Amino acid sequence: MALLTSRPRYGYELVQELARVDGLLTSEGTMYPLLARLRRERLVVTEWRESKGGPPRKYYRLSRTGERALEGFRKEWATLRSAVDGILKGGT
Amino acid sequence: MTAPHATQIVEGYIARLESELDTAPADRRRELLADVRGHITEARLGLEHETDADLLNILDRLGEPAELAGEAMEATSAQTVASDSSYSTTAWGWIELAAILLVILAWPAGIILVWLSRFWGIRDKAVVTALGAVPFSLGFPLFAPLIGPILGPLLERIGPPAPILVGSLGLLNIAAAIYLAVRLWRPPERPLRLTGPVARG
Repeated sequence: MALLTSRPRYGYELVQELARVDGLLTSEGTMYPLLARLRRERLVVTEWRESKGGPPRKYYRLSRTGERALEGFRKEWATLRSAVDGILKGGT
Repeated sequence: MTAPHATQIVEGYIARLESELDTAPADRRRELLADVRGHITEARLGLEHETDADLLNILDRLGEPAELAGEAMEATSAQTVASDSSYSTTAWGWIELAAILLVILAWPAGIILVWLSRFWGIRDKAVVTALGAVPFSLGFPLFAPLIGPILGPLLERIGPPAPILVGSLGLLNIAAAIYLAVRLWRPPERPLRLTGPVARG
């Protein structure tokens, strides 16, 4: 979802972005059921757009609910990260 | 240039996925098949001289059809549980509407529904419970022996405006209902839970 903050992206593009991060995406195809679920939960909205030299692409963008959910997750993540960092520093 | 066995390879994969999705709802099946087809098309557009091996690599990276179908079914069952359980964390329904109404008309029943609902947060529930508890405890006969001795002399001191004051305490229930209704339109922030492939390290 964070990848959708700057601009809408199409499915294949999102998968490629995530695949660049080592170990984050074991099977590229499993992203699609996840994206479908985000759409059903109205965290993202989709829109078909024409593409140059290929079939139309389904673009995903964050909804307002999605933006709020992402903001909430960012806060939780920051808390969790600092807690884990604290534990790791203490253990070394 | 198309790979020599492109159709067999791609259609074979799609057929396996279709068969794995046999028990999935029709709309989910159609959506996933279309998404996967779209993915394969996009990946093939990036190949200048496509070979069978290129296609097999694309499908390998996509994952086993059984794995994709499993992920789709998991998302489906999670969604079904949420919609079957009479209340959902993303949308309000009859339980919330009944709760708002009953908070005014029959506070104990209303407050139980409020606490049963997963829509409102703990803070909202606590605020509404506190608001309604005042008029409820004053009006409930069981509490009379406890409250009477304290309230009686107090009301005597207040004098004639006392009945109006006590009667207007019922407004707290209406205030609680209004508060709940407002929170329906401005739900509290919910933490995002990452699920599926992204959550796996």
